[in-house]
Amino acid sequence: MTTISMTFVSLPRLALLATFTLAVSVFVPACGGDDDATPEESIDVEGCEHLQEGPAAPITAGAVADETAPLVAADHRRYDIAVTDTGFVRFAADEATDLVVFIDAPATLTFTGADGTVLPPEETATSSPECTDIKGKVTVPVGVGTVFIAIGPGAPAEVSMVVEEAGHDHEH
Amino acid sequence: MSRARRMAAVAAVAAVALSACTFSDGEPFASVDVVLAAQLDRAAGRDAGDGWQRLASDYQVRLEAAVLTVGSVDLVGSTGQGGGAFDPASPPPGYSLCHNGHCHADDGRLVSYADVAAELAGGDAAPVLLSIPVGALDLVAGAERTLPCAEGGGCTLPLGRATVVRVRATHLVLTGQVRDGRTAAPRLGGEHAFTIDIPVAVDLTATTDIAADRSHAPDVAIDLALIGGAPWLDALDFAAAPVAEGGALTPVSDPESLTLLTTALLESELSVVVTR
Repeated sequence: MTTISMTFVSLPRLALLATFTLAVSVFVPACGGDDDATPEESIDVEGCEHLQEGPAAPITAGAVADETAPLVAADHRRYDIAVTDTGFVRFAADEATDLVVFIDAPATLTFTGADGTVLPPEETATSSPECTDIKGKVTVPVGVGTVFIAIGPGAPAEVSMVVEEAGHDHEH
Repeated sequence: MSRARRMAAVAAVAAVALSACTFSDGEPFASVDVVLAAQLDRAAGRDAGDGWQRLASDYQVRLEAAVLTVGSVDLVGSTGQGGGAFDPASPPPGYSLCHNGHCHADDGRLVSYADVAAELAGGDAAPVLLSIPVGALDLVAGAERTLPCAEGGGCTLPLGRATVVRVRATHLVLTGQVRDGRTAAPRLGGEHAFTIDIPVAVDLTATTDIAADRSHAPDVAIDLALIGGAPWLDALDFAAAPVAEGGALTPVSDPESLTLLTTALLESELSVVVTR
């Protein structure tokens, strides 16, 4: 948001001199998060915070990639997902964005569109310098629509997941 | 009269004369002009061609009517009590999740941060400094309206500070066509008419800082812009929607779907630009 302020000042004591001051200032609000950190560091900090502190939302992964798979969202929550070897959750993207998914256990994550097309990740990692809780991080470009996230095969019985959207304000 | 006393008398008269120049009797502390613009969200990422827009649910819609009725635009001050501050990352008791300017209350309400703070500060509602009636906004045609104040007297603020702009939505009409974007396993066959015509009680808020006093220029212009439409439908299940008498789907027909729509409305894009 840009705010334009024009300040008109009259100084009665100097009325004979008729002094006017015109000041124009433009403020551009900064994005949320640590101003000294790069955006990637900031999003990892957000992932760490919610993997460590929640708030937690326990769910059970679906058996197939359809509407029975529970929804996960980029809503500052940690999804504690019960998985039986392989399970599915889904994310409803309301804008084209880079989806960043953090997990706290080693597991394979595969992203597909609603038509089954595999969405290739832009970046993957198995750790982060920001905290030891991040055991997996995947960045995937997505368009508007539903993305199915397969966890596994061979996933642990419970995987905690935090979803973020890159480039968004991470403040609450 | 001594020279010192003459000078003191002259100074006193001068002070009175100068102070008379400082204040103008009857002038408001701030006089506000508000322009409210509303239009459809036409994000490129949603464009599915030929007027169709993608939803996050993989349905696609082509809106024919989108009318949001706004009861009023309010300028709200602070409670001034100093208390009630909270960390949205740690929702206070009674709330489960805070994000995007609102918190989810345990009783199902969606409460703005300002109102949560007011509740925590002892229940006193934040004072409404100015309330301007609005009416129906046609997002398809695109509405831009300079809001007149009721009862004459112009739109003026009392001495103080407005910290929140609040747009109070009271009714929503959305009609158009819907189809399923999933071709492999469609949930909905073909194209269907849909209709939503419901009362809502949603406050869209944006923070601001408008001082109304003698140290700021009195004339204030506020430009509000609201964007909505397809995003409001993202979470609705059209395949499960009941069919109205005319054959149109009615995807908002129960408390759960109303909550989904209300949540989406609360996350509408509302921008505020203040110039003075």
